[in-house]
Amino acid sequence: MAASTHPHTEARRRTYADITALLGAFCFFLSALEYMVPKPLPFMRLGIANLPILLAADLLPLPWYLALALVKVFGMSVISGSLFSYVALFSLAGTLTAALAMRLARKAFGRLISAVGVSILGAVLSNAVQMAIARLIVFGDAVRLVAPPFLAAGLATGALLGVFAEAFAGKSAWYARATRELHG
Amino acid sequence: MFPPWALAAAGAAISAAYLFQRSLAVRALMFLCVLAAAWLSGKKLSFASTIVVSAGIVAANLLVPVGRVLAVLGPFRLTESALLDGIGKALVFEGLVHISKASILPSLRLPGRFGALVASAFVYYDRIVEYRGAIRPSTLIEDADRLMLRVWEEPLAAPSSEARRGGPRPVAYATLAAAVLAAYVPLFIKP
Repeated sequence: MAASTHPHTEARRRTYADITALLGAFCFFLSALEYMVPKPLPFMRLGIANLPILLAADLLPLPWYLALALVKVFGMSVISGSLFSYVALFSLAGTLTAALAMRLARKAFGRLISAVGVSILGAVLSNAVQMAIARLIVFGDAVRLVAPPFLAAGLATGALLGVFAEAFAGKSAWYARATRELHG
Repeated sequence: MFPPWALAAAGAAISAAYLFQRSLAVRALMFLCVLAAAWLSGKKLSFASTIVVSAGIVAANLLVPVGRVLAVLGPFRLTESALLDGIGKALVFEGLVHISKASILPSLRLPGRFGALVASAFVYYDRIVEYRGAIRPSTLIEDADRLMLRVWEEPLAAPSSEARRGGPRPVAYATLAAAVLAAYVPLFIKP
């Protein structure tokens, strides 16, 4: 199958794979950092590790973008040894929700919405979905007690990540090079 | 001792048996076993985190009174069903975490294109962790950019998950099969 692939297509595929893997690795790294941040519920995610996904929203085509989200969830679950637990379910639901929301916002509004707006949208929706799952399988109605601080934390981290992503995309030589290689 | 894929498969099977277990006493016993397995696996465990999370889950469930009242503390009623439900949920939550800890090795690799992608991500992750350049808050963007370029520019060697694969390990497979069997037996025994 690979032998019949056009060389340019194969080279492009390799570049996509390379950038997806690199961004996935940064997700693992940021996830390890996030693990050290105290949270109201230790197993829930604030979304710091979604920064590479936010950066990828403008870089990667949809299939590679979704692959990045899945690489992040699987890799983080392997590193933390939580693959068969509810923690992985929280991570999967939160990551896919944030990824799809950020992608949709970017595609629907283009440059009319800033990285800060995209990031806040992804973080708040991700946290809301995690709270909904927590209500279903762990906490029941008592989840309303932890929801306000958790959603507020999502708002704050979303805003901070958005500011950082905006600045990074504007100044980074790596980001400029990756954009050139992928979009010509 | 155990091949990563076999250990992961056993972990998945035991997770299902643990999840379907209805008896709180059996689940508690299984929880102690998986706690011991996670500890024996050499993984870093946080008993404080286990206790805090479990207590949080039980406390959250107690906020909605269900069943016979066991005690009254001011405006708060401690109810039996809510307590048992909370303990059951805490055991499931923490039990699955510890089954995963015991059964998922960092060397676990998936087959196919997605597996190759994850393996490449782990190669980059190792490079990031080994990076010795400074990351300062005052120059965070420049430092992070330098790190990205450094990690990206190094050629990506094909990850070799096959290299560690040894011959068949009958004792290891037998041990895993026995553990899976032991997890399923209580499901078929009527109290």
